Amino acid sequence: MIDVGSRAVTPVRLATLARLRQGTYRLLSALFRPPEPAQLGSFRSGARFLLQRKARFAELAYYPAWEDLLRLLRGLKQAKCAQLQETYARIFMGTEMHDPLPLLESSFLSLKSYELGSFLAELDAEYARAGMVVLPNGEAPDHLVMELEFLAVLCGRESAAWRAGQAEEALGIVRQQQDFLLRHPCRWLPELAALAAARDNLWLYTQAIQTARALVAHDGTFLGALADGLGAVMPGGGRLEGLA
Amino acid sequence: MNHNTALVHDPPATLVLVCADAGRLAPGLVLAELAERVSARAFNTQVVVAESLCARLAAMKHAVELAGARRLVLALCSDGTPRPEVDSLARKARLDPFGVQIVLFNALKEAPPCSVQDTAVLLLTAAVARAQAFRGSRPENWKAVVARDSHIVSRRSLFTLPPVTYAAVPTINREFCAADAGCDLCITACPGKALAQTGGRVQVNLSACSSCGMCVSVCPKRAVELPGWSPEEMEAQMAVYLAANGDQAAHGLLFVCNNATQQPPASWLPVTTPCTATAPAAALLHALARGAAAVSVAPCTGACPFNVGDQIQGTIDYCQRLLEAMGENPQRVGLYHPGAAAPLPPMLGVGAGDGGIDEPQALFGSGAAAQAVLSLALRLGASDAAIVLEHTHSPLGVVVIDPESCTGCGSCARMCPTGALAFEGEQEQVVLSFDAGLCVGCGYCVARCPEQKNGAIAVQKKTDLTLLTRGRRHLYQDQIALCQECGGPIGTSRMLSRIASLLGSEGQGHLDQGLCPACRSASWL
Repeated sequence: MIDVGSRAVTPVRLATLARLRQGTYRLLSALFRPPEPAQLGSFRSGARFLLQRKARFAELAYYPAWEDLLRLLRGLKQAKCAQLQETYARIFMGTEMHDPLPLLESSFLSLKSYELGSFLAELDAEYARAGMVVLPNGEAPDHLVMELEFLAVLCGRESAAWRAGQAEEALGIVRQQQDFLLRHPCRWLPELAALAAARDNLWLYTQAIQTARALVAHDGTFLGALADGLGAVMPGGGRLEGLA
Repeated sequence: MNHNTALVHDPPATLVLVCADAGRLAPGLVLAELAERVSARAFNTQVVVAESLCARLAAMKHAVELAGARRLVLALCSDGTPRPEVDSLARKARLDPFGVQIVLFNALKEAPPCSVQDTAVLLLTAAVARAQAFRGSRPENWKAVVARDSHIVSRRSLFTLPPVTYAAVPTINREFCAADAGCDLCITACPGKALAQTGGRVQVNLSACSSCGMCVSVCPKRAVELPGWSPEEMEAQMAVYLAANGDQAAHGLLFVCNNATQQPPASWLPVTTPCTATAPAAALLHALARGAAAVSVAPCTGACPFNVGDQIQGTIDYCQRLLEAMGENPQRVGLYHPGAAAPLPPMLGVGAGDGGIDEPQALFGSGAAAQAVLSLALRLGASDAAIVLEHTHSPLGVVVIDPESCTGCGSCARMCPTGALAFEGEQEQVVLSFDAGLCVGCGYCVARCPEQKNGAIAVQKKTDLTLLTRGRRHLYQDQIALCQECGGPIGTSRMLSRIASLLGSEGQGHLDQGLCPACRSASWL
């Protein structure tokens, strides 16, 4: 995957990488939903799937946090569901004893009350431009689940574009992801992670938040560098005609 | 006795991997003894000599896991090993690559056999100290860099992942940052214009940041964090180098750029920096104060992306003039020229090398330069000299107040990012005090002063030894006029006079009442 000096390495196709990133974003997104017994099996199988392909990620900087999370998920017992539900409710919804740790971007932006509506509407519009609609009875558009799921969808489209040989379109989606990452999750996840780190009883969620933070911070620069690197070598100002 | 015991509290377990081939590089280098001496000097450190390490770097992952190490120092024969490979292997071994230290032994080939072993011990022990001072990176400190060879364009290469490496980028610790008070020293110093202030917070533009570390060097509050290049890491490395002078042949300290291609000869101990312009004058002077024979800064080779040659030259010139003023040979500080390497002068006296490693001296941030200047003056017997050096690159400043124009509003002290100026009310008096040791000459106090045009305050880029030894002193004091009704403060007497002069006869009546604004309003109702 990475050219390490003179050693021959197997190149990773960008389509495969995008697909694996899609799986990671989707798994993280699901993890921040209120846990259901049926989900635990999906977590385990998703973690197993990604761990089997971990060599593809081993060069990337967020790998250690990511691998720790997958190992935790792989070992998640069905019997732990009630404990997981209790922890989720305690942390993210709050109790009489503890303030909630909201998973909403707007909670971290010091927005004035009159700014909140336009912020959410802009986010809604951004999803709509990408052909997605936030269900009225679903999560708020600035919920971590929604932002990560949106990124998962973009990764899926990127993968399909690479596979179809549409490099220009794929690069456009890469830039779209980077733009969204820098304007949204990268802005508030460090603060969420700091608050989470201050609480010592978050169990699986500490690792999940740290992994999400590491992933978005990484992809925020990685995708830009990838697009710049690839764009620079695409002949004809980004067209593929005439490529060897 | 382990020298590091007192200075490092619970340092992380560290593995030093030495390539066995290094033993054949220089006569006099005995690796078994080297391992023993480094293990004895560095706390919580294991030294392993590995066969053909340079050719089989992948072995380091297993060795790190076996040792349970959290930090790694690699002693390699030459600089032919690509850093990306080391970083990648470190990550697989669950180490933070920014904290991995690489020591190159190829320079030891030139060292005299009598000193090669001592120099090798010193290089490794200092590298261990630097590795142990590393506090880890955060995801926001990673900047991915994707390289693609533009000469090879094929369909296959376009659809595959090119090599990825990571550069450290700074983050700002808001707990220490004074940006909300108006400080923008880091923003001004950044050669890539990668820093900007939004809503009282300094933001880093990752794509514009070139990881040069200038922001780290100029921050008086040590609020900029750049993993791998933090002040703590450089200070720890220098503390080991400088503690060893007594039992070593004379050494010079060489600040060298991370991108430098040439290795310094063995008589120079390298302190790697992201850019040599980040080496503060305090570091150069402190090294001399601790007995280093000479201090040198390697100028950029090739095209320096940061264009900071003037900054380097200015710092050196300041140090040379200071040495001259203290009666010492100014050539002990200079630019390093590999082709014209003169023999090192003798060490600056004896006494630094007591064999123990002191607590690392703060070499960055406010107060560091004053400490270094005072230590050097003490070493050179110039403590009592009335040395005043005015220089545009002086890391110290002196604030001068004109008591006739100053109204005692205290704006200057509220703005001062280092606390050099302090404004305190004592009963019915206000006192503005100044500590020359903390002043960095940033000039924010002047910019904020409402009486600036009347010359109420001025800052000189100046090192004044007498002022440094004197500590904090009063610059200005005035009586506070109290409200005749409630007894609360109205303002300083000079401020009231100034307001009266501005208002003229029209407002005189209000001021004569001797009431605070609240009581004056109440009196009108």
